[in-house]
Parts: sequence; structure tokens; C-alpha cells
Amino acid sequence: MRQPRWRKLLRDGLVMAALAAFALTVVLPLVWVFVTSLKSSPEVFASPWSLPGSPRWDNYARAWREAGIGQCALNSLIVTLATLAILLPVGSMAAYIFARYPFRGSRTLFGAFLGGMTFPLFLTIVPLFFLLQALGLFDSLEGLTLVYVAYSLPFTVFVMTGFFQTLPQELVESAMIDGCGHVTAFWKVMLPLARPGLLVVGIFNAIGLWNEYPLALVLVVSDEIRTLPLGVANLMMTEHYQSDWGALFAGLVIVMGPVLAVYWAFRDRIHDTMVAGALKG
Amino acid sequence: MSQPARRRLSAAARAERLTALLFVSPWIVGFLLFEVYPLSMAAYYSFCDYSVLRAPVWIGAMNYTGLMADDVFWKSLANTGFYAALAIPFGMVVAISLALLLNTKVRGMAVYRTVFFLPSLVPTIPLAVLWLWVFNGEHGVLNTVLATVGVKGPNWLSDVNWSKPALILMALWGAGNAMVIYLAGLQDVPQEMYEAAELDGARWWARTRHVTIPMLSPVILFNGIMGIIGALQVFAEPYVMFPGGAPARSTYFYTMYLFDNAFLYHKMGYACAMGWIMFVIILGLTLLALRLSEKHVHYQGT
Repeated sequence: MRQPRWRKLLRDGLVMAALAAFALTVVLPLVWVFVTSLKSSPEVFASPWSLPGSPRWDNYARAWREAGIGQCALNSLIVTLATLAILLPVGSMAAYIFARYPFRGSRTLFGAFLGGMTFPLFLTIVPLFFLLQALGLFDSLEGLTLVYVAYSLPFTVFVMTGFFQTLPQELVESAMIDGCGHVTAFWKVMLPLARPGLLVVGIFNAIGLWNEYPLALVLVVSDEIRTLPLGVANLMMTEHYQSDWGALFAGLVIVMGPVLAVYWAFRDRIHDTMVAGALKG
Repeated sequence: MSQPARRRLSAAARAERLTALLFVSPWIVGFLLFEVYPLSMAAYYSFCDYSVLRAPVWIGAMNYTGLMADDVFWKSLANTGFYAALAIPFGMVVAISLALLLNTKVRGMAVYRTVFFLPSLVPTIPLAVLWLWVFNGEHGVLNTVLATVGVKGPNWLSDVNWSKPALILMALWGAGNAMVIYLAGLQDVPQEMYEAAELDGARWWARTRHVTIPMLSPVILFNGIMGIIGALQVFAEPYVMFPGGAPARSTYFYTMYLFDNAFLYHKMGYACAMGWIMFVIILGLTLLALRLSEKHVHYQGT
């Protein structure tokens, strides 16, 4: 190395400082939300930077019950799970065909579908509003679920197609020699093998669905079936008048908490798959 | 091959094709119903006068000509353009810088990578609420921090000159998403290229400029196009943080005006025309990016 030692030390120090600074700007606001969620409303303003005098866990109880965040969380959970339950099998089946049994026109279809990903959501949002009304699915969790399935399919099919291409085809062939049909071979052999891919695709979709706002804003109007993002946006408006800031921050933690926990638990797998997908694409 | 054998083969092939169709059909139904149909209807509605109460009435290109004469349309387009023109390049610089820093083999890289990616997962709406507190002019986090170094921060939320920069800062905070992809691209650059450059006496900046950036160019293009698509559709954060595009419509973005036309003023046809114009703009910019990149993007032989 031609560089003198002190220069290397200086450079490493600067790099560490820059990285730490950005990491702090990411982490501190999130920690602050959590700390604030345990404060009383006067405390939030009087001493925004200090720790709460005594932790106010009742903020969570008020957000959960009185502000209706509990109901919203339940709605979000139902929609997210129902969407995944339809999305993952449907998406995997299509992906399996694209990966393994391309038929005439399948490439065009796949291309058209991926092209659909680039259409802005706001181009289809008005017709979707009328379509769900015509189908009698407007303002229902069922309708929202179906739309979520449709809008999560391109990403799911795209990633799963890549995943199925990496699986050994011989296993299917030997299963079929043993007398399995295509359908059985897929469900019994390929789908279990694809579990790692399904897990990551499922996590990504679940996080996206849990956070989704514009579609829910248009397709859901009744209070009882609000999803969490709608509930928190509404809570923010009402807290402006009621000034129960502790409950508002407790509501924020309720929305963010599960996402961050899931991400932390699966962070390495998420990164590996995401990076592989992005570089291929 | 004898006749019966061939027939048996084609029967198997037919069974295979039937299975294939069976497997893709739920997906095709969803695609037709929720993508193709809405897109076609959006095209049709964009030539109609369509309030929710009455059936659509064909009015030709009047929605489009009306938009051309609509000051609010141009204002929202200009706001969106301003936002995208700053958020995309700054976001790129921040994301690439972070990726370069992380790629210097510092300790704790995995932890930093995990932390930097966090913002892109934090739900938008809680994030918007959080940022309202960060940007609050009197007791916001940002101005308090600025005050400690002797800078008097602006009223981010109520000053027309600072409302859009506030949203751009928020976008930069989420640069970790793109950073993860850049980082993976950096780790794909063959080590020999750096060694060769070093033998030629290239210093850090020269290596970055002549090795790293060209090798990273396909990823830059990918993230750039994703950035265009995302920035032009910015919606949830300003919609929640700046109701009605306050102050003085300085944060009234294209999607917000589209949304209000549809669901506040019930001008469905007008909104659909805006949707198509937006699509054409996104398509045009994407093609432009691809065209401009032809000369500069370097693809590794794969």
C-alpha cells in the first residue's frame, strides 16, 4: 500500500462517522415514537426529549379500544392473510408454468403482465371503484382482498418464476414416473420445495399489504372495516381536536411494530432474495 | 417412430397444455378483470363527462383540452416535476454514497445494511405523522437540532418555499431501499478490475469514477426508472401531511389533484384523462432514460 497509515485511519474514521450518523437519523425517530407513546399528553409537549415520568401503558388501551385501532388491526390482519392465502397458490401455479412449461404466447403474456406493473395505480383507480360497485364488492373486505391479490400478482409471479427455474426438474419427472399427475406433482413435490421462496415473497407482500393506503382509501368507506393505515390517518385528524397525543403515538407503534418485528426476524433471507431478484431484473 | 407411439406422445403433450392452461387461468382472469378492463375503461371514461350519478356521456377530447387550460393541473404538474427533479438525483447520490461507504469493508456492515433498509418498510401513514413532528416549526425535532448549531430552521410545514424540500428530505431518508440494490451491484464488481486500476496508479476517486460507476450503471438505470415511476406518483405522504396541498397548493401533487377530481369533485372522466397523461409522461421519461443510457450503460457479459 502506498497510502500512509494515518490517512487510512482518518479515512476509516470518517466512513464510520458518516455511517453512524445516517444510522442514527434512521433509528432515533423510531425510538422517539416508542418513547412518546408512553407519555401523557402534557408531557409530550412539555418535555418532548425526556423519558416519560412513568410509562403510560394505558395509551395503548385507549388507542386499541376507544380510537378503534384494535378493530382496524383485526381488519388489516384478515385482509393480509386472506390475500396471501389466495395470492401465493395462484401466483405459484402461474409462475411454475412460466418457468417450466412455456406454451405458445406465454412469453408475450408474461411480458404484458410485467408491463402492467408499470401502469400507474392512479390510472386504474377510478374504473376499479366502479368495477367493485358493479360486482357488489365495494366497501367490503372481500373486494379489497381481491384487488390486493390482483395487484400483488405481478411481483409474486415474477419472483416465483425465477425461483422455480432454480429447482431441479428431475424431481417432478420422477414423481410423474411414480404415477403422479402434473397437478399432484406440483402440489406434493414442487410447492414444498419452493417454501423458502414463498416465505420471502409472502413476507414482502404482507408488509406491503399491511401498509397499503391509496386503494383502501378509495375502496373502503365504512368505519367498521377500516384497515390500519386508514385508522391511523383518521386518528391523526381526530387527535388534532382531542389532543390525546399519547394514544396517537401508541397507534403508530401498533402499526409499525409488527412490520419491524417481521423484518428483523427475517432480515438476512429478505436481503438475499431481494438482492438476487433486483439484480436479475 | 411408429404411429401409436407418436399419438401417445401428442396426447401427453395435450394433457400438459391443458394443465398449463388450468394453472395460469386464475391469474389470467385476475389480469383481465383487474388490469385490462380498468385500463380500457379508463381510456373510455377519459373521453366522457362522467359524474358518479349520471351514466358517462361521450364528449370527445374535451377533458384533455380542458386540462390544458386548467391552472391547477399545471400547478400540480409543476409541483410534481420539481419534486421528482430533486428527489431522484439527490436520492441517487445519497443511496450510492451510502453503498460506497458500506462497501469499504467496515465492521458491522450487515447491521448498517439492515438499519438503512428500515425506512422503506415503515408504513407510510405513521411515517407521515412522525414527520409532522420532525418538521414542526416551533418544537420540531429538526429545528431543535438546527438550533443547537445556531441555525434558525424555517417553518417547514407552512412556508411555501420549504414544504416541498421537506418532502424531498423525507424521500432521502428512505434511500436505503435503493442503497441495498447498489450495494449488491458493487459487490458484483470483479476485484481484479480494482487491482488493475490500482496498479495503474488510480486513486480512490479515479477508481470510483472509471471503474465503479460504469460497472454500476445498469443498476443505476434500474433504480433511476423505479425512481421516476415512484416520484411521479407520490401521494400518501403529502395527502396526509398537507391536506389540500397546503400551504398555498405548494404540495398539491399530480396524484392529489387526480384523486380530488375523482372522489371530491366527482369528475371521473377528467380524472381518467389525467391518469392517461400521467402514464404517457412516465412512459416517455422511461424511454428517454433508456435511450440516453444506451451509450453510457455498461453491461457485463453474462
